[in-house]
Amino acid sequence: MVYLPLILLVIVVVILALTIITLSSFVGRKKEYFEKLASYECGVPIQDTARKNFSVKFYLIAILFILFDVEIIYMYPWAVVFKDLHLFGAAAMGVFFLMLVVGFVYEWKRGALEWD
Amino acid sequence: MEIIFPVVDISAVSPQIALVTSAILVLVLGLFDGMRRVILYIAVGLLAICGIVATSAWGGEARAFSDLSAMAVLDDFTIFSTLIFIAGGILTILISVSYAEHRRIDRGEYYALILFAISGMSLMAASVNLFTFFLSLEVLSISLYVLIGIEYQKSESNESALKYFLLGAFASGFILYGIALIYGGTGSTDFAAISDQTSGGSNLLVLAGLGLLLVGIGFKISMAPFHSWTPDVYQGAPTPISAFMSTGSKAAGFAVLVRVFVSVFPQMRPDWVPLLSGLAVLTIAVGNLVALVQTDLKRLLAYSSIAHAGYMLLAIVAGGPEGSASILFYLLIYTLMNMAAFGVIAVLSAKGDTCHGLTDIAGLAKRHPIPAMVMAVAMFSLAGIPPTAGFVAKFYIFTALIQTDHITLAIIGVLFSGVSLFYYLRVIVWMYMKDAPISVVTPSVRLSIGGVAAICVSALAIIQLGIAPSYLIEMAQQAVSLLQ
Repeated sequence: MVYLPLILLVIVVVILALTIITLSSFVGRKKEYFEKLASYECGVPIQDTARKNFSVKFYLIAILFILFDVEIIYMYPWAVVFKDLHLFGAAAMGVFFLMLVVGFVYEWKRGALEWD
Repeated sequence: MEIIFPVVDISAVSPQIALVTSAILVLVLGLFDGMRRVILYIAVGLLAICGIVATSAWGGEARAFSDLSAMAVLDDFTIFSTLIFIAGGILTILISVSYAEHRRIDRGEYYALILFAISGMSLMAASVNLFTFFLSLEVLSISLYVLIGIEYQKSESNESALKYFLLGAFASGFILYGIALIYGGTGSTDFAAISDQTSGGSNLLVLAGLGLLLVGIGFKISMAPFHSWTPDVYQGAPTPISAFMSTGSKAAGFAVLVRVFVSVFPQMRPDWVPLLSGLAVLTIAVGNLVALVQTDLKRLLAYSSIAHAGYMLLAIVAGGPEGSASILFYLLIYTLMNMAAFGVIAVLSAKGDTCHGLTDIAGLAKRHPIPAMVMAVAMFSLAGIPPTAGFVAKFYIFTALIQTDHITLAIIGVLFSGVSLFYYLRVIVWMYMKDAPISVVTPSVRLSIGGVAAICVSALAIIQLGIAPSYLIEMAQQAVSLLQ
């Protein structure tokens, strides 16, 4: 029964959370107005509904951004121990970076970065 | 801080490095408009060079990539499988010559993705670690998802791609779960270490992991009951890509199955042999029986490919050096047969006219005698009639089964092989003994030289290997000699 404290904690947390939410929805004061109920759009006054068509080009940009963003993450731990890795690390990351550059050249030449 | 550097033997992955480099080269060259006409010949040439690189290591000692955990090895098994994949890739590119051009998919990406897929397959056959295996499987699968949907203006192509992608993602999930359980049971993902850990006997956690792994790989090789995507995807994908999938990705799956079942878990044979023999019989039955009622050629070939996966599963049940060698030999022959059969469809439908239904090939022998002849050879070989190579390949598998006292399985296999005669011969009957309906009689289209050459070479190889197969059987036996 080593997990008993954990189970107890889960039960207490669930009960406490439910109690607080129920109490605040019954007891709390409600003052509703448009700005409060509007969806959050980085603090700017809302423009339009979220359910509308937008250009598929955003999708391409987003995909490319995620790809390169994730690849860059691999470089942080490498950069931290760069000196200890000597030539081995430099060579390994060189190969990785070369592939990344090929992908970049490809998307550039194919015109994925041009808006029109 | 102390960092342990692995001693890396780059030459142990030289075929894979050659393949990836070629793929990148084709991708970059394909960006230039002037390359459009020649890019496919460059791709074929680079594949041939990769084949030479792989062959040059033939007959040597097994070489592991890294000394910390082997990850990938270069042995005769890897080389033999890689050569099968490269042969399949070259034939795929050749049969898609005018097919791809007419559908405007003949850009650098098309050939680059085929090369990337082949490098994934090659690494899959070389992998001796569950992570290398999973990584290479994803390289292969992601390339295939794109290739299937590359005709993005056709809804069938999109539907196939989405279907294969969703089910493939599920299969990847099963494989990951299996890897996690095997790691939990043995504390390692390295094949040699897993083999050591399980030598004591069956371990329930490892057995569950092995089962999940089998589900995932079973999906890729279209083993019943995970086969239902096969006919839909083969039908909707571009025909050369159907050919590529039915041969290459299936061969890669079997290469991994051989490594996993025959060389990693031989001690657990009593646990997995009943399961695998049941699944093999089910796969053969489903493939052959449903193929009987198909009237679409690509669907018929899809069910036939399911049935053939069943025969190869029987060889894994047989196990031992003979069983593994018979799978390698069968994979090679099967690649040639399917390339020839799908190749004929691709060559005939290159200019956009469909050639899917049996009625479309009625009287084909009069209109296009050479493709009809190739198709007939492929059908005889798929059915396993001497003197074609399909007979030798099946004979080898059944011999391995009988030598290991699986007489019942061998009898079931032979019986269903007899059933398959019906639908294979029906194609020949339609081509040679029926007249084309008036609506089909089109002015004979000019066929692409590259495509016809590719299917003729396949057909000739099928007959040649049917008459004199011994040197290739010896090569296959040498390829598996280091596995056990």
